[in-house]
Amino acid sequence: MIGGPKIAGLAAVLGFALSLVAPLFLLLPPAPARAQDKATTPSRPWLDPALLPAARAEGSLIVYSSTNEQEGLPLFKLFTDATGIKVEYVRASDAVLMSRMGIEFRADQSSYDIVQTATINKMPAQMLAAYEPPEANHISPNARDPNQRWYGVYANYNSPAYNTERVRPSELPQSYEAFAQRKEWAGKVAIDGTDNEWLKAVVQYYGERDGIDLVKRIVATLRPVITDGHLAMARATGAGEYWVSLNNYVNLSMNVKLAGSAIDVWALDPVTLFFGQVGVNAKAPHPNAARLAANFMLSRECQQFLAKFRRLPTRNDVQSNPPGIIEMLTQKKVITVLMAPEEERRWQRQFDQLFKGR
Amino acid sequence: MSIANARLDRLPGAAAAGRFAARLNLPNVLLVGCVVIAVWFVFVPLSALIYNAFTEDTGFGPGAFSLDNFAEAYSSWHILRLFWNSLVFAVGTALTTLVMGALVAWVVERTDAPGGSLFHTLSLLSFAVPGLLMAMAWIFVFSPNIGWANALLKSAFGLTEAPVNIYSMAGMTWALSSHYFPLAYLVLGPALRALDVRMEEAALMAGGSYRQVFAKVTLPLLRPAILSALLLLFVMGMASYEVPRLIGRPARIDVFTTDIQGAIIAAPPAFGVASALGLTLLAVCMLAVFFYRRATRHAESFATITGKGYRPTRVKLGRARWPVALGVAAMFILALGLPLITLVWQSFFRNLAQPFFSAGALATLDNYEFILSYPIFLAALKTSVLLAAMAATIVAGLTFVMAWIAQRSLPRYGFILDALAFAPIAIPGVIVGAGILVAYLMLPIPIYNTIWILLVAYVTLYLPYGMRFASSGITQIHRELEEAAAVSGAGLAQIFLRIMLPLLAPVLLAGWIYVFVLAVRELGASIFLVGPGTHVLGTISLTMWEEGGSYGAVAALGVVQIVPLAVIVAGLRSIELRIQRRAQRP
Repeated sequence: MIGGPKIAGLAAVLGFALSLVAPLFLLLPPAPARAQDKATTPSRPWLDPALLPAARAEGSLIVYSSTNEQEGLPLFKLFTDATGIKVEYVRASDAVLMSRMGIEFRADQSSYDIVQTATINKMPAQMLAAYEPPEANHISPNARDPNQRWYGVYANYNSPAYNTERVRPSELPQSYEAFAQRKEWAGKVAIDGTDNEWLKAVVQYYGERDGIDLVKRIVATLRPVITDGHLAMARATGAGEYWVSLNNYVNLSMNVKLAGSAIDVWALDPVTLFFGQVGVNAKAPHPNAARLAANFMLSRECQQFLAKFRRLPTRNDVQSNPPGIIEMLTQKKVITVLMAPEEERRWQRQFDQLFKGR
Repeated sequence: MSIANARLDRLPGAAAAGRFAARLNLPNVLLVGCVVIAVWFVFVPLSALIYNAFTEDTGFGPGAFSLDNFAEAYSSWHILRLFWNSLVFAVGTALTTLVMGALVAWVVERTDAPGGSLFHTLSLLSFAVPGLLMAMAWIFVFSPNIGWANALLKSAFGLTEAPVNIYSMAGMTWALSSHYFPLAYLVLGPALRALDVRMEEAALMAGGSYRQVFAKVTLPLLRPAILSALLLLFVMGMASYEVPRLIGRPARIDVFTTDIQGAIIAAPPAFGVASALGLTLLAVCMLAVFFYRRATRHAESFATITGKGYRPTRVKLGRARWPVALGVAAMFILALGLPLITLVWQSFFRNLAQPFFSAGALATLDNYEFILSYPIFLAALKTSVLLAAMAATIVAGLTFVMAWIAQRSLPRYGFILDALAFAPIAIPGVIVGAGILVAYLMLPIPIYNTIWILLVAYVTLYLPYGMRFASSGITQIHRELEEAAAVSGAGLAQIFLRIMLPLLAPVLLAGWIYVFVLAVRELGASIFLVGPGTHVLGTISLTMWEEGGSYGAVAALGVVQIVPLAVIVAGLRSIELRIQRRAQRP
């Protein structure tokens, strides 16, 4: 029993000491970012000379974003390379970002400069600075907030998707009414549990009574599986777990398709549309850098970069990836859905009642 | 003594002050300090939960007093279904897990069957697998549409329908039990190891049959450890989220945590409704702690490490050694092997690849290249490992002191301390994270956007686990050892360091490893608290799941997380074995 306590004690002391000392490594300053001073060039019209000197003087930019780091970090490296402004990037889901920003606002904390996610239109106006970036003139009119609080960076078109090994293109229904006839697909169709925007667009397209009645018939016939997460649903449809996604984000279905999965999309009336947006924090610690970055997010350079990751652009002068997808979708009736929080709650309750029987 | 002093002593206040001064020594101050710190850690999320539940959601955080959250959360009959599903799921998981864990614990700790060290290491390894990936792997194994084991069974037996459906209550229970049974082993193992076999021998000598001895001697002696494991497993089943999300939701089996998460991911998040639902979860868990304390209130009855010496011995199985070991190995293969093989296999393919059925697809290392070159992966790995080591050490230290106070120093108030330390387990991680965020933005403690705020969250989240390990360990040490040391003139510090710490070392080390492995992959609280430069592994996993990455990339991330943890766990296991061997030397 003599050696045991000694080793135990030694291990405990060493472990404790290591635990206390280890974080000091994290306190070591990072290597200074090399600012590559590339002056304003014709290829970078977003480098607004009215903002650039003040933004550079601020030195850094903090971005809150729901875009993954694999896209977000190289994207903002373009910004850093062009301006010399160091970027700190924090990624979280839109719901987490929304509540985190709300709590920070209330505590008068200035933690971020710009936010980029798909729910900025639901933020209280006083949290966002009104600003019209010069590049906003190039994006489609429905992607601009009339109050200048947010702008669409990429378009989130919604459409059904199907597994190409389980369903032949000739079997695809050409309307949502036809969906309600596909008894053989019962239990093989999925929809995300938060697709209240799709529900609102369907009701708007078919009218209140007919729209709700149609969705009831679809639910009764297909008994859709309610999933959690749009990418998870796209992957599962591509893998054959579900034969059809009743509704999904087109860019996610296409992402899974271009990765080699057996999935494809087709368009039905109505096509629901909302946007991945950018907004400037009303309490931004680096307000000029924030405005310059918002301008960058709407630039051709930024949207061309995002198109490589299958994000669908809001600018007409940027080609979609794959080409022609926006044209295919816009042949149908496109309904832009931008809801305030209370309205969204109401539609979500309606969605839960229809799909989950609550 | 002078007259003046004598008069002063007669004053009631002065006498109390004297007693207070006598108790004001370093060990006592440290004890009080530990309790105050632990109470503070728990107080923050608990008050956030209650505050959120009873106030209006404004979009900027909690507003005026309101009962609307309760009305929204509890006004539908749906709540009864939630309650029933949660209860069935948690009880089913706790019982299945306990049986599996107890079997492993008995074979490893009380018999001479080979492979004990391997089973122990495998048990620890299972914690390194993130819950989300474990659930995903079980879908790939037993989904009626894409599960490879179902396809294998259908082809072998010529079936037209898949024989197993993972999307069911039984499927959920199995998926969680297969992940948690090593925890039951970890809690029961040290208790079985410390069980004095002479008590059983004495009962046998007195004419008792093996069955009688098992029922009347062995089981009662193990009661604190069994109840501790059951309590922990039940509460973890109630609080688990990944399996209900991935397996329960498609089967329309909703539980409390799926509804809580549903409220949290609304835009804007309905923290008030989530907290109102969370309070029920908390109440159920507190009730479980109450019954646990009641069932183990005569703690001395369960102490098997006494001043009379104890001698852990093993049952000799003879010819049954290998069959028993193979039986346990088969259970490990079924519970851990199937999902792990599936994950490793999937990590070499971009899209869904079924083992034995993917002849057409080409294996690739692209997923590993993708993960290892992911921009912040290595920084996040470093931060997660450091945070986990710090959190595990602090939790082990704090809960050791708290469990001792709860059982020895202030047993009358032990329930309060025990329940307090246990409370965070019933508060969803995201609410702990949001509560800490609110608190430390308002308090003049500048840790926001630093690694320290994550450390505070991790210690808070894992106090309950540390408490269960320490509590069950201390229950088994008879207080006469401490009394003997005190009579011999040992101070509190000496009793702690020379008596308690060595005897509890295996339990504390097991608890340390467990907390470390859980903390490395923590997600719920981290999503609110990571800041610029403080990314952690859990948030990268979530990004992979939510925002990018194929099945293959997600699986590869899991494998990449498991491998370094396996090395660390194996290293710690060798230290543990050396401690045990030295302790057993004559």
